[in-house]
Amino acid sequence: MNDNERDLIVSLLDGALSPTAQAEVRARLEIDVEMKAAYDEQLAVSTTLRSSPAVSMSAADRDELHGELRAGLFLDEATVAAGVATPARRWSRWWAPLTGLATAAVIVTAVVVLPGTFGDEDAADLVGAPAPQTSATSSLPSLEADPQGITEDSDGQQPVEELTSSTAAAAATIEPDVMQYSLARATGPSDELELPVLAEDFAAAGVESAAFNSTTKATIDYGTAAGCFGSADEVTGEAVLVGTLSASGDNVVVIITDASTGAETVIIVDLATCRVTSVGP
Amino acid sequence: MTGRSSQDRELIRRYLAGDADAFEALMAAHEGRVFSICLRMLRNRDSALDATQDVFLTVFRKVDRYKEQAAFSTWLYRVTVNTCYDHLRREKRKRTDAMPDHLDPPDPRSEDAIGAVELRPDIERALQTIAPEFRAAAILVDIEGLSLQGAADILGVPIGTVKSRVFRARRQLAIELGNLAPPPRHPKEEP
Repeated sequence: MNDNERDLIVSLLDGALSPTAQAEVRARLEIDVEMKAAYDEQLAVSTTLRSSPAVSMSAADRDELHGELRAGLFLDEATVAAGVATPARRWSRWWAPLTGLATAAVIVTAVVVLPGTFGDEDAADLVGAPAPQTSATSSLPSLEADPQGITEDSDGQQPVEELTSSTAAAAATIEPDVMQYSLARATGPSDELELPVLAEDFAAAGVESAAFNSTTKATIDYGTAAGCFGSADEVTGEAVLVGTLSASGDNVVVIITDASTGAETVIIVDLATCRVTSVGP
Repeated sequence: MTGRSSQDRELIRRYLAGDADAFEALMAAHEGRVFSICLRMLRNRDSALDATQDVFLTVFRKVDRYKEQAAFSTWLYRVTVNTCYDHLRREKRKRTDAMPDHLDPPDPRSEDAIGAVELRPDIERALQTIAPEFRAAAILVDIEGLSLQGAADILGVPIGTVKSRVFRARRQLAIELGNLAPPPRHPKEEP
């Protein structure tokens, strides 16, 4: 049975086919034993799942949830009276450590406007490139080729101000509503994160994690990361530092998934120099 | 534009203007399904509640950037699924460090969750055996009753991908459940 036949079965069960198409598929089911068996199986599982009762929260759970959210969003009367148009700046108790996320989000912006590191073509790729299908080794060479992981400009300055019209356009297309980032949420200001997640992500791109580092755990100092990028006063997206490539915490890796395309971009930042040292799928 | 979408957009405008009642109304409209998806995905009531809280914190923090180009619910449920993926990843990493699964003491809250879900336990167990991406597709389409296109919008993948994931999820569930005969092997597939 081919993909088209599978699609037809799923579409038929979903009611997504026109009456004419439905009749055609049903006629095929009459003569194709394999397709009919698959249809019956799909129907049985779907029917079982669809017949499951609705799930509901208990009143106590609901009250607790609302209370936590109100606290987390600072939805007291005074705050509400002042408006809640900028809730991103209001960090709740456990949310406060996640200011590191804001920093990571700034990394995203910085990457887009670093023409020396990330050219116009790459900027476009960040927005619409397909999901990586090949090894990312070649696109993440700097840490292997250059132990320092640093690409110095002639003046040694970060060319953030050199915003070209094309990169500006690319930046404008990256909307936080469109992009969802792969997250590994931190629970403290300095959190020990493990590399298996990172390894999985790289493995999906055909890269062995051991090619980067055999360390299984590393510590991220969000304070250090924040020092690289100043105070992040606006969250442009939700990015998370998913791990580091060295035990000393020299590098931060951010893996970003574009929700609309599924494209993943890996950004490596050297915390010692506050430089983006590598960007690639 | 559906009535629900229109109501959501109006509620968001009111929330951004500082109307706390709008927060409650948005929660009332969506918290049930968000929690349901989280519970089906994570199978643990505490984890589902944590994930639900994460979802709404994320959404309300960023709601001022909601562009109204897509239904609010689509965006909300996309955040929900992604949040569940995050929780599953973290749980997987915790399990990697913890003692082997078969040595873990039973979690009474998990049993509560099973009761709350009210699916057949064998179906619950079978759901947990399939990849999260497939599980999410099956949950959205078969349990939450969303259309294939609606699920595709939420998952951020082409509709063909959703069809494939749903088909494979059902196929694997059938195998796991063992009480549904697999389709006969095509003659060309015979060794």
